[in-house]
Amino acid sequence: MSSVGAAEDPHHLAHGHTAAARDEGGIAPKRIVVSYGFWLFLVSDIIMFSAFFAAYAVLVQATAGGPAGRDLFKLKMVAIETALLLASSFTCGLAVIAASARDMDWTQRALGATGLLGAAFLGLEAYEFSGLIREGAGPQRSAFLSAFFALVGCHGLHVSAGVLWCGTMMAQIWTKGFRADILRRLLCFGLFWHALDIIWIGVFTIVYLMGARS
Amino acid sequence: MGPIPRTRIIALAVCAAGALGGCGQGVLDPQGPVAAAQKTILINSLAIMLAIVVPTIVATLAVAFWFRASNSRARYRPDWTFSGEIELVVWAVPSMVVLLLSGIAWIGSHELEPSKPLRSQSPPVIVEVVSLDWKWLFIYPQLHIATVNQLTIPTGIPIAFRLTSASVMNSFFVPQLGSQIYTMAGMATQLHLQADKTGTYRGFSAQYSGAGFADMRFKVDAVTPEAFDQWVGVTRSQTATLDQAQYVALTQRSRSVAPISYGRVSDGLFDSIIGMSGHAMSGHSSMTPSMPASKHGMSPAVPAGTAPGRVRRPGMFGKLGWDAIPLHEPIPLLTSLMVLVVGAGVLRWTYARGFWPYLWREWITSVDHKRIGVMYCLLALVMLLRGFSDALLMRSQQALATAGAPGFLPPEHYDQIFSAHGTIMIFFVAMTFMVGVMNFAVPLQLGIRDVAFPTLNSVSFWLTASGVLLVNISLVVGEFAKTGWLAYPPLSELEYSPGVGVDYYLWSLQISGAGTLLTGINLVTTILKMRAPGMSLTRMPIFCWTSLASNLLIVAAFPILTATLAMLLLDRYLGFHFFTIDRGGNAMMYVNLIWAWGHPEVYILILPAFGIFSEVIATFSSKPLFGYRSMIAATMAICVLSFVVWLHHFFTMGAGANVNGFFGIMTMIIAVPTGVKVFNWLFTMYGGRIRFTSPMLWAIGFMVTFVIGGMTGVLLAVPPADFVLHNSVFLVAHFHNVVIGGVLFGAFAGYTYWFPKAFGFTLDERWGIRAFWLWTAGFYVAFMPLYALGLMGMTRRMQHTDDPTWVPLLWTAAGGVALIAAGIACQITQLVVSIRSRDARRANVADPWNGRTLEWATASPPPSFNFAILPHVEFEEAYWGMKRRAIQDQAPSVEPQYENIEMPRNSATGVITAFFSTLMGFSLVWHIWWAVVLGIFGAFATFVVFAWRDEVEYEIDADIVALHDRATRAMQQSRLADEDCAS
Amino acid sequence: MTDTPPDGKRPWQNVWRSRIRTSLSYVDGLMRSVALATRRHDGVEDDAHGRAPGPAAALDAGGANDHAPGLDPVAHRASLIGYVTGLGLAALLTAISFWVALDRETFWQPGVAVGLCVLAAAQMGIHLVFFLHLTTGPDNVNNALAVAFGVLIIVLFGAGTLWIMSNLDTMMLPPVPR
Repeated sequence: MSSVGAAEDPHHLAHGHTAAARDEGGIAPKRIVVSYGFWLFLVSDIIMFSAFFAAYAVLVQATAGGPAGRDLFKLKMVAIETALLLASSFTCGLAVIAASARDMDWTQRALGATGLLGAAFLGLEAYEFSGLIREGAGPQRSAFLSAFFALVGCHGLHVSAGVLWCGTMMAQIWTKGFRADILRRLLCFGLFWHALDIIWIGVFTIVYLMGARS
Repeated sequence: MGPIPRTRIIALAVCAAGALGGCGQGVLDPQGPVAAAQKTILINSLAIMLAIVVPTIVATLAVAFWFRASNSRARYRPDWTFSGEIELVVWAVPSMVVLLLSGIAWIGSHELEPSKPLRSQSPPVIVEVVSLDWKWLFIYPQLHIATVNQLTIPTGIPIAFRLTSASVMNSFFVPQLGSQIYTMAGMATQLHLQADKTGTYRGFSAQYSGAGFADMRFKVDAVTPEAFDQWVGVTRSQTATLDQAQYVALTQRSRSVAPISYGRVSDGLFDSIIGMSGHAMSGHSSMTPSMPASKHGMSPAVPAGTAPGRVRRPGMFGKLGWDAIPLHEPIPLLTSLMVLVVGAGVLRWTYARGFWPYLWREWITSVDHKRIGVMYCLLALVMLLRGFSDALLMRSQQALATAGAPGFLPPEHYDQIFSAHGTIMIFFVAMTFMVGVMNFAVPLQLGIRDVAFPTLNSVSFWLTASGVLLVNISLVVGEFAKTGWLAYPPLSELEYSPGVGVDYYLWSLQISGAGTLLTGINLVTTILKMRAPGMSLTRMPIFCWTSLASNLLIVAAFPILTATLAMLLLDRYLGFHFFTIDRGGNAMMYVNLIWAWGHPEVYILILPAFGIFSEVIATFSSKPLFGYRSMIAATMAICVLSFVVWLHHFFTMGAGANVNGFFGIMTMIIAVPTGVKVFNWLFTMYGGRIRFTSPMLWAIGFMVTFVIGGMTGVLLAVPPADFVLHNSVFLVAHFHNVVIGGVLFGAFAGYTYWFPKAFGFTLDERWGIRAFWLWTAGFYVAFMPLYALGLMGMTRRMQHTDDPTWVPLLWTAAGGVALIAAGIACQITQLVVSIRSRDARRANVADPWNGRTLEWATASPPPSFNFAILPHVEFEEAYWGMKRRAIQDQAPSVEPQYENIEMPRNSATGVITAFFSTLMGFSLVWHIWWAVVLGIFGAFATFVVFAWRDEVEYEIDADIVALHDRATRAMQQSRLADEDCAS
Repeated sequence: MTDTPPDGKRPWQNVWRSRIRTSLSYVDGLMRSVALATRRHDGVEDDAHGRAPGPAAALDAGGANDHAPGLDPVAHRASLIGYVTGLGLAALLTAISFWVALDRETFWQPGVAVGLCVLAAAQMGIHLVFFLHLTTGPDNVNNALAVAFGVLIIVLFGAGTLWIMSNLDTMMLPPVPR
């Protein structure tokens, strides 16, 4: 008898009847498993960005005699970029709502708008980058510019991947309908897109606003 | 016997005595106040730790011996698994020790801060030190003289060093005078030393800096102040003047430079050298990938295969050409030829036997976590052979290449070997094996059918395999990195490593790192979201807990690695300036970033091993794990603390005392939870009935070995001690002590423990035990000499050495590696013998060790769905509780209602993705841009095709499930009946 | 959580496509679909994990039953209101950030950097709450813990890096003019 007692609760953690109602194990529904996994991916992605942010913060003074942020950044353009991304975050939310209402047209429209806003953002960013490079303020100019291009460019690459994903997602919803697995992917896409906007908040604050002032 | 042999014998005896005492020109023979203080700190700290480590080792061995199963006098107490008092004590004891050492660390790092001037009556002599490729320049600005490779200093007067580098990082180190410090281009570090006794001491570069590194020695003559003045006078009479032009001539690469002295030095040369590094090379800074490296003023010591002098127009295959094949290097060529022949033979044989469809169906495209886990482990074991052959080469080279003998490996080759050894052993052996074991065991222990994302799991594995493939391709096509396993810039920048080696390194780590990150996400999700009903977090087996912690660390740390390597790639491919010497790049930041990943990585490796040992010790002591709650707390504490210790890898970079002290203390604090774990294992054995199977032997061997490694680790965490041990072979001995004694022993314990679960037959015990003893003996014989050599002042990564007193120890170390080779031979024999006699090894194989966790509740090997019915967990040790209940109830449990089971379909996504990523990686290495685009597009297309699938699962019929389960149940019933009779 | 898996094979898309086509205006259509979704409540079909045996009730037990990150637990009309609120607040905070950064008169300049950081943190919080639907509820414990772990690591890593690098920087002697 005693051996069973010990096996049941050898560490006096009071399992059994008095155990808290929560955390009893069991397998979560797939939707939760998938989006939680993607949530973790986003955490890791944001940690990766934090490394680029840290590198930027370390190198921000290392202009090697070249231009600094205040000489280069055009805040009007940054404001437009910010607005575009924020609006796309909103339309992305609409897409998720419309999809959960099984509304094909609105889902497609909202996703389309998200993708277009994202593409417009990318266009502006490409314009900014090419302008900088033409001015001789490309990433090879100084460590500061290297860090700037890497950080902002990495965000831009993520947005590009997001736009690609958005297009793929639209095609998938169109051909496959609102199947459970497709909806899970849409949910992940939404998470991804919102996370990009969160990173952009860091970018425009730390890189552009602070950089334009210093 | 003539007089000459006799003196020889005496000389040898003196050498041996010196070697054993660790004296003779080393850290333990200090000649100045700094070194003397450091020696005292070192010995005091060691003594404090020995006071706890020695009793722990004795207790481990004594408890294990006394509570052996055959000892009828030992009292078996299977329910003694918790004691509040002991819990308190096991946390308090290491805390006290660490508190004491923390005090030493804090005070020591302030007292002995390298930049702090020494207290003295006389004003210091200023010496400006410049490390060049590969020699040392010493400028005496007050005296307007300079020397190369020879430093003359007056005794009793402090010397204030200001140090910089004209090239890559080096570390200025005179073991008998104390602290070392890094020299870095564009920056000036400071160091204050003093010699008290006259004599000639040896100086080194302790930080590997390229092909001529081993010759980067200098002589330190400590003379009386009068003699010093005299020397200054003599030097001043030299006509040679060190001006700008002369200095530029000096920056040309050269090795083994005989001492030079300059009677005059132009003023401000040192500061201009610091400033120059930013501008002198600015002409190169706009380099583009297409620009060949040979334009960068290099006379690089790269093998002829990379054709430094020839500029080839990039054609369709980028930089790739026939000259990439190392025809002039017989060793890698023969090795790779052999690998190719064997590989082709295996392929041919499997084809002839008609295994290809089977392999494709059942393994390559499998998304079954057990199969993937087994493939991970297999990959790791194969790479262990590769990494170990590198070790054989290194140990024999160092044993042979002394006193002028060149050995058999030129520096260009030797440097690749130690870089590949480290990279392979960490990423593709330790990491890969642990991921494999977690993949295999975690879902089984959780009582579920697969991981959260089975196909992603397959992708992860194949990405790892892709990284492995790239590393191995580098053996045949091109070269591997010659930068050490962490590829510190500026050495790893295009300017100093123009070949493809670093690119191979970077891309193989980026690709396999992505796979590892995905595994981390997969397993964390699995553990947090998918457990058998009733298995609350505090009922999880401890291996699942350590896996959770380890994978959380992967999720948190690997992105940092990805970002860091990406920055270096941008530097190398697009001319960015993150870590370059010029244009504001900061190589120290790379060191900082890479260790912010690198230290958690150490715990990513060791935590699963801790989990394996916990399972093994509990099982073979026939007792639940002692202090389960403490174990969880310790695991999670390690998980978080591992992120606040990384600076201890570069104490000698010149950070201030507060920074060094803080990180030293945090490092020691992490030893507290680790110590708690050791005590808990000890108390798990206490009162147990220990069966000395080979997994248990690995565990005991681990406990003894690991506390020694932990002790030297804490020693290295004391900044002043680290100042003299950093970059020495003492450090090498330390991390091999914890990685072999911890991770690898853990891997072997897990391998033997779960092998029957994976394959349905047990491994041969005799050969297993032989392997254990050979490995353990081999480890001690190979690495204890390195501890001694480190104290004697030997730095790491030396292609050749010149100290005859080191030779006996180097030969001993080589002998140790031979013992390990014999151990590996035993393991291979064990596998062969076991496979051949497998039919006789199937008795009780579902639960051969009388296990306590759920993986033993199913058949061996488990069916694809693992469990016919998901177990309902009601106990902390799920399966043990079930077994006890069944014995008590005296009745077989009722047969459950079987249902159809849906399992994920096989998918070739993983292997196809890996194909394209290998293509991409290889093409990036060789700048074959069209193939890069093809690779990226192919990978994307693969994902889209995967995403378009409609049928993702297949159904297993309830009848088949029932058939499987009835057999298992029948076996379990008979087993329980036997056990009932026995008890 | 009501994760009762309904019949997953109803041809929703056709029903909705035709329904929307008959709507008078886009806005009306959207609001109607939102209203309908509200009735369906959390209408995303949920396949209980494919390999889970037994009744769905067994799956509802405890920790495995957290809320899915990113999915709004409330009905969709409220969800739309949440997005609009989030958009408004985020836009407001962004505007304030730009104002604080550009206006060199109104604000005490040395404090501006801190202000910008706090504004950014606040806006990130708004995104997390209104767009990513992170809550402190019991069904969100694991999601919140994951975020907290990430933030902890970023803080340790970021602060450590800046401290170390700035310390190294000050310890490196600048060239002394002579």
